[in-house]
Amino acid sequence: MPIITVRHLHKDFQLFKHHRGLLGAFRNLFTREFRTVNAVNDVSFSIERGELVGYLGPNGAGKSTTLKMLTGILVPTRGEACVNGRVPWKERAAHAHDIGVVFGQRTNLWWDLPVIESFDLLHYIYRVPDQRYYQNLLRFQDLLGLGEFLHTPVRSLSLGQRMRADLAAALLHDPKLVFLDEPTIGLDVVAKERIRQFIQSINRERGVTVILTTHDLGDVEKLCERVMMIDRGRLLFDGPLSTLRERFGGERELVVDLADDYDDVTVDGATVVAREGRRVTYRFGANGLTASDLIARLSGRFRIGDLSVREPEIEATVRRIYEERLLD
Amino acid sequence: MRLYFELAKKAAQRQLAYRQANLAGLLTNLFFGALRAYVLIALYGLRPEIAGYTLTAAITYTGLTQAILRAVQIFGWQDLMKTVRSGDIASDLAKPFDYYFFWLAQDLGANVVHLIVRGIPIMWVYAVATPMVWPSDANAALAFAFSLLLAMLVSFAWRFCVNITALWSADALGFARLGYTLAMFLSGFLVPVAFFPSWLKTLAAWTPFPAMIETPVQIWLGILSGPAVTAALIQQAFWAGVMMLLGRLMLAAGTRKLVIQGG
Amino acid sequence: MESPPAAIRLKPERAAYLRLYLRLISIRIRSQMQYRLSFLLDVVGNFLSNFTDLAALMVMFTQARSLGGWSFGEIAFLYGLSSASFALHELFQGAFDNDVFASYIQRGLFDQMLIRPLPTLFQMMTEYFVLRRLGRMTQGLIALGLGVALAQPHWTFAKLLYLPVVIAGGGMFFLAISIVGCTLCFWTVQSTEVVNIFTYGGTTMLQYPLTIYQEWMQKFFVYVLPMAFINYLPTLYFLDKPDPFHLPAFVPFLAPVVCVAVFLLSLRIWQFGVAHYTSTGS
Repeated sequence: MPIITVRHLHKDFQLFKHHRGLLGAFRNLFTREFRTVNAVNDVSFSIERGELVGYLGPNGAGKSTTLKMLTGILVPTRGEACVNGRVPWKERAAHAHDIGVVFGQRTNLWWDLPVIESFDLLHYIYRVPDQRYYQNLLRFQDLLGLGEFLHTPVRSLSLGQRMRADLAAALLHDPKLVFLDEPTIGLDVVAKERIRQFIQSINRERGVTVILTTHDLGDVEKLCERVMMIDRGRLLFDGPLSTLRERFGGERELVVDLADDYDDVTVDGATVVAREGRRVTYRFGANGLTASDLIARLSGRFRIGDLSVREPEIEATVRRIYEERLLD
Repeated sequence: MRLYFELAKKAAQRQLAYRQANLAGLLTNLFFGALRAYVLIALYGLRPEIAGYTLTAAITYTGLTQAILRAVQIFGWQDLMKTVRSGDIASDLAKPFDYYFFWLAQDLGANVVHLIVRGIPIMWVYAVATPMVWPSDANAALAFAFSLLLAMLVSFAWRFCVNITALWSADALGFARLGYTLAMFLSGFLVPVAFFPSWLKTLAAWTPFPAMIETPVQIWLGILSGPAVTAALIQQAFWAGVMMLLGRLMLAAGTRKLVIQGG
Repeated sequence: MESPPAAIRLKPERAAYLRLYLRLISIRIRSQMQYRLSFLLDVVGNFLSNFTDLAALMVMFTQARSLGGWSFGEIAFLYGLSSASFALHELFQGAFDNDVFASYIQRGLFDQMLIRPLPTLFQMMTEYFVLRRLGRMTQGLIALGLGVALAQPHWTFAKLLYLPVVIAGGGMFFLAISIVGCTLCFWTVQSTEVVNIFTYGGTTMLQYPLTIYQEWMQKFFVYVLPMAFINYLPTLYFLDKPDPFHLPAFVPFLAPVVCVAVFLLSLRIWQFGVAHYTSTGS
């Protein structure tokens, strides 16, 4: 029995043409001109317990809309969904009890309270047994390094800190399923790694099913075995990441600032495309080498000061997939 | 001079843009005006006049006060205080114009809009719905206009002083609310000052508040006439002058403090 | 072991809700009481600003003996009832304040509530609590005390029992108005200031005997939007005053029924609003 079953899910939004001004306000009352936007268009899939699925797509593709329907805060226009044995929008509160949600752009914590007080409240709201709550708290504190800001009000946290707090909060009540909406957005490389590691551990060690929406391919690469790709409301691809990688087969660039002067900066598996003093640009990926592998190789050979990965435009990838008509 | 005119104009335009708020405010004004009118009618009963106000004058009073209340901002205003809290005041003070007149210009600009957008419709509705007392002649009307302008100045000066205290106290908002409540009552907005028992009347006379509402209203209604009008206008001007001077002094002291302490 | 019957299972739920409610409110109170001077100022300020209405009434009565046939004490009683009811409503109002709720929707805080496993109504009531509301409660009780002292109603046991019922009912009615006012925000997304005419305008209007207003207004507030049941009609009973509407004698006792009915209706309207919000998204 899959933990999520989605069948022919549709969500249409009606955008009213807003007339401006006072006269316009009157016009708005009488003529309702609108256009329909198919935010989610006939999406079907099912997800088994323990999977870690990436849900990719450019901005406005319909990722957040799908997520909102699966978390129960949006009612679809047509179609069915069954999550944890329930219809999310029909049993909102009960459903909320069994899932964890993290929205990248918004927090689920209380803005003006210290983090620990938010956690405390959540432990009561979700009716987590005290023992379990403290166990989880200690474990997450460890894994996510929360100790440094546990007593800081949420509004004073940096983005990275807030994201870690939100992740912990979402898992305090041991949900079997979590939805993570852009959890690494806006974070630096180190913070991203930390969060990815955390997600990986809860999936592997606790068997938590994770649905991860993102348009950061680094997230996908590190975490997901299965990937779903959505664009303009339609599900374009649903399958293993390896297939996706074969298809897009594109290359990426890694820009490294070396800490020393080296004569030979070549490395296996990547090509040096540019060099400016200590800054070297490598191109890699066509042969399946991941960014993390390349970084590992480079750190083995050189002392690195700083680095950044130039991701390929996901729009380009999607366009390519769309043109090749990959449908599962 | 030109600059301040532009600032006033900008403020006026901004105020005009809040169409929904302006309309909602107008409706609220009309509602409360009507309410107060009914209460006064019931109070008068069969009596022809109270404290020199005929019933018609009293009803006109309810309309007038609603018409000018927003222009005179009798409920108070915290915008300046907010710039202290946000720190914007520092950059405002550094700008190449007179800080006091900067705020005054914008205040007048926005309030003139209120006079037009609310004042005129309210008086029009009243004129249609009920008998009214109008200024007796052109002189009275002119005196009213002048008095209203002075009232707006007194009100601004008062609000400026209240707001600028934020440079010294973090609890300025709490004190401000208290101050505004007192001001509202003593200005004659809820009940004419003329109705007050004599001790309270004397108390009010020692404050600038009646100058904000009671004085212009009494000029309009003709309760004040002849030389009394001139006296009242001089009194208003006095209050405007005193409060503005006080405000400027507080501003100077506050700026010095800011510069020394760094806000 | 077989699971306990439904009735017993439900009890711990309700107790848990109450405890959670108290916990959430106390957190808000604690974080505000940190700023003790501000808190005190707020309460006193709130008290005073509500007192101005009473002060205006007193001034008016220095000029006349009665207003619309009612003495100062009688009007103070009327005013006290409405004030106490409004203050009670404010204690439970939570985020059901137009300006507050409109900003919640804009900041996505309502979505945050939808994610949590609690009814939205419960969350709305616990999310926002400003201590300064206590100022109005104090003032309302003082006004009521003044009214009782001056109007000197002939107390019976029944009247004493009925008084808190009327105040509670009035509180529910005002709460209903606030709830409906906020539900409108789902459609307009901005604060609907016109609602203030019913909340603040309503309380002001109720401070005086209904009979001083135009006939159509009186009929409206008895039969259409029955705010007369908040204080006016019960006061006729408390102060043994004749009924100008010539309604049947049991009508003043309908107050709790009317208020509860209006409140339940407002809850339905709120649910309708939430359903609309969740279908059209944000």
